[in-house]
Amino acid sequence: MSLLKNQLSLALLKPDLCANPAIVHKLFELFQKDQFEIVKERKILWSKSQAEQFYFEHRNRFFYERLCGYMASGPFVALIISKPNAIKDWRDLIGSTYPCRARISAPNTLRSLYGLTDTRNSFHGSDSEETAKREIKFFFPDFKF
Amino acid sequence: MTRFMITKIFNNNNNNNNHRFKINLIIIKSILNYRKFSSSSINHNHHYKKQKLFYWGSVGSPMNTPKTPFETTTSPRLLNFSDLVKTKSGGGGGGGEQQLGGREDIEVTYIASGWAHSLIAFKSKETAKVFSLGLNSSGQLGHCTINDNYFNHGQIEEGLPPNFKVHSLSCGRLHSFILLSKENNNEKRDLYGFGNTMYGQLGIGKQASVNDENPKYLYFPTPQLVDGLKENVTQVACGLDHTILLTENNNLYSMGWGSDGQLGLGKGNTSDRSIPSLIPKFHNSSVRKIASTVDFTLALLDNDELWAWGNSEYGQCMTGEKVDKILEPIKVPIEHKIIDIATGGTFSAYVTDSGDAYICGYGALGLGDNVIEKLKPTRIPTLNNVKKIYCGMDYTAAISASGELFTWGCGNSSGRLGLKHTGNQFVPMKVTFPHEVFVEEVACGTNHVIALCRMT
Repeated sequence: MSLLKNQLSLALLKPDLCANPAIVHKLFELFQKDQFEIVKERKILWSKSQAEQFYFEHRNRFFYERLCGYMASGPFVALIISKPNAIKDWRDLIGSTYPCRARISAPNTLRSLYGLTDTRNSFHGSDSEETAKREIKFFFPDFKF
Repeated sequence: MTRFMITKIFNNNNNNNNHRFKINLIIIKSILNYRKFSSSSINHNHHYKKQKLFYWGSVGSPMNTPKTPFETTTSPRLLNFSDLVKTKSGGGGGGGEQQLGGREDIEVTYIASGWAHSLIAFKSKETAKVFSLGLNSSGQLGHCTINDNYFNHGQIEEGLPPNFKVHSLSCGRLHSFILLSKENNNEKRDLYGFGNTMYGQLGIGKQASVNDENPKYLYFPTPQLVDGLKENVTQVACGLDHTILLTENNNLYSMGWGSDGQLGLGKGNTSDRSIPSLIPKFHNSSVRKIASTVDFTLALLDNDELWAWGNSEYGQCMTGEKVDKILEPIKVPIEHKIIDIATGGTFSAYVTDSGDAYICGYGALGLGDNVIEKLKPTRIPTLNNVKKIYCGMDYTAAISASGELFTWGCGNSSGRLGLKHTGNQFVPMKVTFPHEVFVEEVACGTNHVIALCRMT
């Protein structure tokens, strides 16, 4: 039996979710149960202009204003999580981008359970190893891979 | 670097006061008769002997420290008035009836529910009292403090005038309002807000600074007087992160989050507002009712016109098409004579004078599991004799003329439908109560419901 190599992913628990500490507590229990190791954790509060800098390249998209407003609406948590297949496993857990549709089509995913609206969708997970690396560098610039 | 979230999230998108609350023995002689304008007011049918409050869904916290009396439940459970009273140890019960002024004299006058908290107003012979329960991470319970790690409950005491009469309650995602008149001045309405105001939703001139290098989380756990208006407010409707006000002069004001057109202020006016901002007049008739729960608003006029604005990505504004955002109020093409309206997140609902319920938008609409989208209002064939309709974000509740309650929608593992299950319900089903009751009013929060009933 070969040992599976751990994979890193960036996970965000977005501001709507962090406004309810009870749900954050539940998620940390879930990380433990599903054997995600929390490598690093950081609580962040953005101003709207900080969110706008982060999403700058989307400034002409219709959702830009509300996305920036949402991400600046309260503290959120950035995490580096680790386990074999961390990227896929986390994305499978959080499920579809749109909580409203997930409640019909994938009711047991985290976005269905805790996401509020298509804008307030509560979670993020990196989509590839390359993206994970880039995202981890952004939120944890001192992290040594 | 900046691409990552967008591509994943949107990959399918083309398109103080220190007044101690003192019990004053002056008897308020006038009964609550201010009902015409408020959906959350309660009709006092005195052929039913006793009021009872029930709750279901996830009212309490999974982290019951200190222990709360409100557990997650999938069917109606009696909410003892005394359980609402906070004891010194932080738990429920004990001496509650005394604090409420003796049970026989207590009358519940208003109920309201938000994302994870609720307000309940009581009237006794002496005065009114408002209690709150649930999540208090932004001070939305009005207890002058926040609770980071557990849900709380108790009376709102500081910050309000010593004696008052309640005229409306409303709760958003993390904010709350009490509309009241002081005991010695029944003509003037005062609006008190508390909780989160990152978007300016409290209307007290405070919102998150756009450019702050060290941003702060902005909330007010003690009730604050909203004093930017020169006219009396008659109705308050909270969306998740915005607020709509109706005044005695038939003006509509908005404040809070505006990026989806929630504020109805017109093209180019999607920025957040922290003071009540006048919605340019679109109506030739007085406004009978306003409804807002998530990111869009309905306004029903006395001339039977229905108007809508805000997010309509799922066609929930009933214009017959999906529109990202409707920035200024638009008239909904409807022929029916409407007696009640309600707003969900991705759908809207109304009741006609013939007792039919209509629904429009996306979700578990009550039209069967093969119909999850309707861009035009569609009658729910299994419901008759409907009097009142209410929506939480993803579910709907209807009260019949005979006081029966029906619910449908997404259950979301919370038990919020009250139907003894946690799944989705695609056809309306009657809620069974532990006693024979006449359901007068419900307050649909995101994951919990409070129902005011009278024993039959």
